[in-house]
Amino acid sequence: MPSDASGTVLEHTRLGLSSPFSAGAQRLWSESWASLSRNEWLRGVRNRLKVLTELPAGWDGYGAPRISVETTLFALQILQDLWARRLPTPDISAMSSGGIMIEWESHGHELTIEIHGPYATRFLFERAGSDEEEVGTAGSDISQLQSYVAELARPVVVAAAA
Amino acid sequence: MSYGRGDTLMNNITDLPSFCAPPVDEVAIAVQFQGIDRFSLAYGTFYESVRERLPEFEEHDPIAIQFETFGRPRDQLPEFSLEAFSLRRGWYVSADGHKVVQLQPNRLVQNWRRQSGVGEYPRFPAVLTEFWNSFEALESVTRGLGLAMPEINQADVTYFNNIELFEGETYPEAFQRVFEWPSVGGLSGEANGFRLEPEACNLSFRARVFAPDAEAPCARLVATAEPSETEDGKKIVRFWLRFRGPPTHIDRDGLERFLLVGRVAIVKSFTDLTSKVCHTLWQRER
Repeated sequence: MPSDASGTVLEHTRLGLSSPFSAGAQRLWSESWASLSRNEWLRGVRNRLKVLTELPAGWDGYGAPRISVETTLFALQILQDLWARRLPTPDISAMSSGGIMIEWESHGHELTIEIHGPYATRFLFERAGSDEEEVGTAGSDISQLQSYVAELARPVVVAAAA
Repeated sequence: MSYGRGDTLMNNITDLPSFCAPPVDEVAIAVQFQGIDRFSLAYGTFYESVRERLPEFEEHDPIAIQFETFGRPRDQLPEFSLEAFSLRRGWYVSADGHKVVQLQPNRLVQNWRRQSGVGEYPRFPAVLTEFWNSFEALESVTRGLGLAMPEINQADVTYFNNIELFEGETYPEAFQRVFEWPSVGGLSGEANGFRLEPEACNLSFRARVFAPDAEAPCARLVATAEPSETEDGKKIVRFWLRFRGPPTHIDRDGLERFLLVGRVAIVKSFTDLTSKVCHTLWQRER
């Protein structure tokens, strides 16, 4: 389980919302993200965020608070800023702390963003082929997150047959 | 209550451009905060506390929550938002209609506005004093009701200007006069026998704001000018400028400094973007 510089565990009990579709449609859905327009991509994440705002207090059975409107809207703002062509649709889940977790896995890289409230963001990036994890926090400046997303969204280069 | 550092900053603004007859139509000072639970209890109590200076009450749809974030510069793209939540926005209005406080569970706005083009702009310090009066009233109400205190996550200052067109002037001509766009006039000329006649224009300008020696931006300044009309049908260029961001320090002192920097950024940008011809018209004194 990864932890950040302060030793805090960067993992929480959460409610998974990995896909709005049935298991049978999951494969088709995950293959189609590359062709989604910005509007389609954002409509998908917005709908999933709306589901999170409707979770009642205590949804995890352990007294989790409701996710605030501000936290949800800040998450939506971050996702709008991070969108890039070929960026997969993220997994979005509720955290027992009242935050929102956003996760991507692409090209062997993994990016996890925790949004604990407006301008209160923590992230973990695991680069493919590297044992080192990059952990940090972000306020209003999200340029570091944009750099990670650029790696997640880079086009696949297929080597030509000899 | 004294806001020492802010007062000092206010007194030190001696080089700020100033106009005797500015085209200011409305000024807004706003803070956005973490939504307060059970806020519906506060509307009536807040009304009681400000009723003497703001006796009229109206109800409106809420203002959408927005956040300024900064990364690599990117194209302006349409914003997505969640559908409106079940919020109410109360308007508390002075008897003369010039002062308005807007209140919803996550936002407080202090406005000064002209009414039908009438009213002398009382200047920013007066609007700021009104803002603090309203904010203190809100704090007192939430404390008295046992609600959470407002936790500010963003603040903004906005100036709206109505710049009237001259008799017979078109909007492109007015933009050329107000903003000194030589290319607009140039487009009226001939191009290989084809005549280009400007018929519509607007201005949109965005800038990231950096504190001295800071590497990361602290706010964003947005300026927009577009053709419009007043309620009584006068043609105007509606030119508004907004300074918005998360205050680094959300105590009173830090918030006041942030708002004052916003005012300076707006006034200087307004002066830089508009023409000397208009400055004379607006009686620039400094």
